Amino acid sequence: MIKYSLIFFLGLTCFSLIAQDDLLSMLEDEQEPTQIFAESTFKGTRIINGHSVETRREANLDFIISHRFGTLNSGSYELWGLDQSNIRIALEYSLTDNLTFGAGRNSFEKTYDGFVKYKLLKQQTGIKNIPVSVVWFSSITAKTLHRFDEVKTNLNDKLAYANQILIARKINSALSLQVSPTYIHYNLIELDETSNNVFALGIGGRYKITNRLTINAEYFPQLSDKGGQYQDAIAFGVDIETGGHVFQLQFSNATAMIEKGFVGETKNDFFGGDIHFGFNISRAFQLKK
Amino acid sequence: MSSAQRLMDRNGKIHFFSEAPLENIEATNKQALAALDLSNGKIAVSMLMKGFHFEKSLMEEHFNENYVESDKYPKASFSGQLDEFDASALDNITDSLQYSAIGQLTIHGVTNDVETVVTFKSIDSKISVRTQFWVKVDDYDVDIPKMVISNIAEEVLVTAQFSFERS
Repeated sequence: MIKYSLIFFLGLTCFSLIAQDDLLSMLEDEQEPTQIFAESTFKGTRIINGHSVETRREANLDFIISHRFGTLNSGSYELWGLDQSNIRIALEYSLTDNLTFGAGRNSFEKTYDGFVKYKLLKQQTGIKNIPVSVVWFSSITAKTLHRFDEVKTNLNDKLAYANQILIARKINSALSLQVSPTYIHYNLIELDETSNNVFALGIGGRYKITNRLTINAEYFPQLSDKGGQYQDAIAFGVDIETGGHVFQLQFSNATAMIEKGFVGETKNDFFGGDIHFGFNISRAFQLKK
Repeated sequence: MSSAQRLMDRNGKIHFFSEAPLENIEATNKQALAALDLSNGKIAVSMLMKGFHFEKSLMEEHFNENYVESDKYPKASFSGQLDEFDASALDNITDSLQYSAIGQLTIHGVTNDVETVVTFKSIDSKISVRTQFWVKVDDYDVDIPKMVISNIAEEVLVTAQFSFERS
């Protein structure tokens, strides 16, 4: 009996000594298990031309200016495309962490665009495991460039719609991949175009070189072709993050910066050197806490 | 060594602030864990880096992603000792009671010795504990690129505030 008591007593002393010395580890054991969300799957709300699964948080207003210059193979007279530029100016506001509305004006074909983007699923581990983030994206665009022929058009004829489901996985802290099934409908098509509908599969990804620098790539193969004159959009770029800004530089055969344009109406041949240099700059404003 | 001699706070507040030319950098964590062992004056604090919330959400994202690398180093902690601590003194604090403390502060996987003064106050049935000290960002291998160095102060003022229920 005494022997057992002694063992019990020694055991108790040892236990309390360990416990006492390790107040911090006792404390760490108290930490409740937390749900870990995959943050910053991409640095920007665009991979390059197309939207990424990123949405900004509640009450964030992004002011985004995007430029696409002329093609690199236009020669020294055009300063390799820098003499020409088309621009999109946009405001994008996040009503909640998951819901963003945006509106922009594109100098290319004098097109207005409006979109809604909603985060359906967030990649996370913990009590609940979700392997991917899923975002729904829809936009409506109005091309207001005057026609050079005699065809009379109404507002309805000027509209096109783009719908996407963006599915992405942050595989590790460096590598993120995304697929973006895309459906676009054009209310009016030209005589040399074959279909009002375009289906495409977007594929994109980023690789982090340093904490503030990533290289990105993106490809939108069309599953149905609107007409033989069109090409699939290809783009390569880098994201540079400096404090509250994300600066994106890219090379792409796409002239337009909105889905209905770069997915379905890219005419340039990337491998023929019809490549536009371009950049996106965004500045974030927090409108309320 | 009964657990009654250990006081614990699950909602400790850690706040840091630094004044920088372009914009002040400020965040609060309201879910820090803190423990005080009355038998020997040992103190421990642990918190999740993702528990720090900023006014600007993009700043919060960059804090986690680029500066403290929260995925790699999810926690910060402090483990220390109050100098000449006497638990019975806590029972009759008139105005406030101060102890100096030394210990190890771990942030971003780097541990440094820290010395600070801890103030104890008695508020109703609770003991309020507060301390404030400067942290040099560079000491914890937190990398600030030259491009943004003028945006971010190199020293931040950390304020910790705990409230322990008397046992």
